[in-house]
Amino acid sequence: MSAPTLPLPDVPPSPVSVDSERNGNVRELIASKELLRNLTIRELKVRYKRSALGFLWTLLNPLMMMAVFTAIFSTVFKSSIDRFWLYFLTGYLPFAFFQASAQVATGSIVGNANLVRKVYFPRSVLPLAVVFSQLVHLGLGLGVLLVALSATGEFRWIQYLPALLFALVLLAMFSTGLAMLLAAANAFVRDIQEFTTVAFLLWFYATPIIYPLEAGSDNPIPATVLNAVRLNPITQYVQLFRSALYEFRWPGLPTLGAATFSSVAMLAIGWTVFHRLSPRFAKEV
Amino acid sequence: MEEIARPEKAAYTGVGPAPGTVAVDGVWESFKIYSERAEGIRDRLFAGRKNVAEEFWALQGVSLTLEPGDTIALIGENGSGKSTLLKVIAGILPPTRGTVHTYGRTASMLELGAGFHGDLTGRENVYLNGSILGFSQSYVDLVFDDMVSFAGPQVSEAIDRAVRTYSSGMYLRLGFAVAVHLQPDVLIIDEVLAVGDAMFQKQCFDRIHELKRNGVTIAVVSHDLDTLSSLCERGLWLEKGGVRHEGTAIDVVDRYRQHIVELQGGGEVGKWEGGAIYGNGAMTIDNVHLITDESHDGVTTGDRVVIQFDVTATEHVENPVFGMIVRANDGTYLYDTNTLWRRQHTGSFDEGDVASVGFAIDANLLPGRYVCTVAASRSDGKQVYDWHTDALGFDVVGDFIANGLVALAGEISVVPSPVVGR
Repeated sequence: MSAPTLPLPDVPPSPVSVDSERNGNVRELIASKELLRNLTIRELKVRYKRSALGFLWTLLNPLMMMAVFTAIFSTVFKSSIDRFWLYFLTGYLPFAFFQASAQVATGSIVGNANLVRKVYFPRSVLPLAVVFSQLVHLGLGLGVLLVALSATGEFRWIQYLPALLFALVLLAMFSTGLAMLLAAANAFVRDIQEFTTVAFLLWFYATPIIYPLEAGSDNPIPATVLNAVRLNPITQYVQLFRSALYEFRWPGLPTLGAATFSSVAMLAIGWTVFHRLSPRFAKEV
Repeated sequence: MEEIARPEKAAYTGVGPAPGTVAVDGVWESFKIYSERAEGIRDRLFAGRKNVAEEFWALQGVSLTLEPGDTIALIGENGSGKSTLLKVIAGILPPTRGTVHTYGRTASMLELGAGFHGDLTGRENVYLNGSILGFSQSYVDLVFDDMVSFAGPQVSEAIDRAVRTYSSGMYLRLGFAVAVHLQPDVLIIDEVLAVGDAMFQKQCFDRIHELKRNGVTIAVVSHDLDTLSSLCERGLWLEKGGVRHEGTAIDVVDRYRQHIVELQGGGEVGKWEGGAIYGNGAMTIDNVHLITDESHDGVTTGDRVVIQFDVTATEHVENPVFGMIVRANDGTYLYDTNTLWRRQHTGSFDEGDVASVGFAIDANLLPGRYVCTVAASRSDGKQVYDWHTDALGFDVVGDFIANGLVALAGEISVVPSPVVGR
């Protein structure tokens, strides 16, 4: 038997010896981009691996939700909203992304306990992989929505694409921040996982997805409640999506400013808390 | 045979410690132990007086410096902190106090197949596992074929099937193959060496020895002391989170064995001709001697010699294991065999029964001094009855001219090749 030869590493040894960066900074995360990509692919592949329709569910799920809510609101509750299906989808798609990101990420540290306890890697890739995989689902959902819009002869969305992309980035930032916060907290207090189920149901109704935000005689929601709903940061993102895909106009500066502020703040809080707590994950999970 | 490709370790001309250096300085590591594991809000908030967490210091001021290419065995009883120290080196647990610096790429082999996902194929899992351990896609591309063939034909046939269809053996083989084909600067191994059948274990050891020759810094935790002393140069004995003894692996293993015997009770521990003697005394060894070839005095390279000793049972023992280790005078581990490995039944001994045990060996050794350790132990090899470290020394003489330790003999042939065109 001839001695197997070890292949040379693809990266030549660095001329400067680098002390391992285990500080969880952005540079370490960037160095782990391949791991992040592979984990994101794992999330995507594993989700539908054993279902017959596979990836089609990403599209079927929001369409079925839309069908159910449209049926209810055109027969039982008689909504006054114009083109309810579009109004619903432009609210539901971003919300579903936000909810799935935060909820799945909540269990991402605890769920990968065997990895966290046994191998070092920047822990932030775990919740981030969840957010990125959900972003792929959202992208597909929005793609179908745009095709459907075009099929109805509506092409105004093209000019508002930049606004849509900006809304996506802000929503992704906010979701990442909350995902990191919840994932880290859940490693210490498992109740978070149980709590999110109820919290997100409440959050769904606190977001104008199935009712209009403007108070009026045809809106069954009282004005005081609507004012509270306006404070919900997800409302701001839904408004951004709707201005690009439903109202076809540029978003107002106050909405844009508030949304940007929420995104930056949430991401900063989530990132900071996560990295403050992550050194202790291996002991807690 | 081709020379094993070495990563350009020698070419390192950079600033600061070379890749493969590990510096652990005064590390303390604490764990909180909850009387009832508190994981919910209620416990956290209302723990107050009732569930006060107890602080447990798994490491208490451990310092350790590893140079590139060092191999160190961490030895100690359960709870002595050896696994914690590995995790600290691997970066999984940041030290509570003190500092840890590792230079270069560190890979930890703390659990095989950690991160394998049942629904992904073997191939997908290999790439995922590679990136979890910190290696790039292109690096895994390079070693992929070697890795899969290392894991065996069963695995390579199933490489594109979901790993949940793998047998547990296949799963471990693939996990091990991934771990040993990625070449880090520092490799951390915790109790994962005893996987698969004997053949595969041997394959694994060869591979780890190869990594060692390539200058990888290796830190190992294992309960298999013989493995440790053959694999590692250095040893560190941890006790209750502190360093009890540091030295060569052979020295540390010997002392630790002695300590274990003392703990198990019984047996005299004393010095006798160079090496430590210990055991619980259920059997005693004496009259260790060498029977040499009758045709001449002394031992010449290639002679068949017998290492012989008498054993006496002081109580009833069933199928005891007799073993023998040959080392070079500098401690280099050369040969280790016993009746358990050789599947040789030794019979039943009643109190007072005596037997003569002989290990015949072909002394294919180059001139020099060699030492033998002999031992008798329980049928599973786990409890030492009597152990005589370096009980016997002998000198090999002769005119066999070569360098090294063993005489692999054979002739040298020089045959003129026919020259074309003359």
